Amino acid sequence: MASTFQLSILTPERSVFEGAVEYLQVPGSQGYLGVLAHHAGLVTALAAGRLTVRHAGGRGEVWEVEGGFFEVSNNRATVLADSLTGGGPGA
Amino acid sequence: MSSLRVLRRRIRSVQNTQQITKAMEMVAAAKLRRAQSRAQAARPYASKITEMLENLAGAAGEIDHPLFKAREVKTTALVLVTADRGLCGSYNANLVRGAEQRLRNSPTGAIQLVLVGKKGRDYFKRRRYPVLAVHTPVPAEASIDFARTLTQDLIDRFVSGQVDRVELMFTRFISALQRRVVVETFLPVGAAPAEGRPQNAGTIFEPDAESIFGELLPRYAGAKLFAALADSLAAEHSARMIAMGSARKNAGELLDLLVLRRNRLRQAVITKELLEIVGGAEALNG
Repeated sequence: MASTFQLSILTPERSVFEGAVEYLQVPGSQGYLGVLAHHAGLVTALAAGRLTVRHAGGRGEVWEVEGGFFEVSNNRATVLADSLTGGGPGA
Repeated sequence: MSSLRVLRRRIRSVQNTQQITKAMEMVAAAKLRRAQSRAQAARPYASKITEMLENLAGAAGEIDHPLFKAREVKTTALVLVTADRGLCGSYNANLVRGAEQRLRNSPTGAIQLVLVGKKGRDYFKRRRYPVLAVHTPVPAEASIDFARTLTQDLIDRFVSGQVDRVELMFTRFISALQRRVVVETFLPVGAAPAEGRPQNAGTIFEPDAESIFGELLPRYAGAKLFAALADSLAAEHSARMIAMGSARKNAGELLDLLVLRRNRLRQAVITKELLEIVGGAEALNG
């Protein structure tokens, strides 16, 4: 089983997701980037695009983000999205 | 007897009032619960963005961003967050009084008002204080879109140099029984660099700390304003709940008094009639 890390997806109005994930792909302002467990500390702005998550266990989920910020530190990732839609199953 | 009829009519009217205030109290209680959970739901984002801002302020070093720079203050915009509706005790009165006090204690024109909510607008419309902008109606549930529009308006005024400082005056919700009018500086954004967080070292910034910081500032301001609006709404509902609760209680006390008076009067009428009958019979038996 792949190792996991903690992910929080937050919008100004509410917390959308909180839990352990295996893989995460976010639309960074400099292009898409993928994050696995034990990623180096990183802070970036987000562009509009697709946010893909693989949950612990392999199930995928996809959101559309407008923009915002993304931070990883100490195996904790946080997405601060300006607005978020979707949450349907995906790759 | 006419005074008995007047009393009965009065009792019915007070009963109606009691019913209405009771209904309003219950509605306010339900809305308070919703407003509270909305304010709570926004907290993780707000605390995270604050943390990021502090970390970045430390990492970015020299920051030269218009929203961050304190200038010599000639004019201050005071954003006053009032309610659209009344019947909530001293909620609006406290805000309006606080703002007026600030206006009186500073030279003319040094404080310009930005009024959020109908009650504040109505009050200051008739007075000679300078009003920069009015934002009303306020959405019934705290909305990030409204907060963003307002934030953008304030940022534009600040950056263009129309005002040198923006302050927020709103009601902080403490508990269902407690709230307090507070004033906070909104712009320029004051961010103290985080101390003693060595894990910052080695963090990758894409593209770089300064530009992320620049993008973070307006969002941080927006989140702060959203929190103030959400708190204000919760405070408004709790103030209304308390006000209506005491109105209901007062109506109950008044009702007890009126019912007692009615019963006495009714008894007096009966006694008087009996006396008349007895007196009449006596006279016949004579």
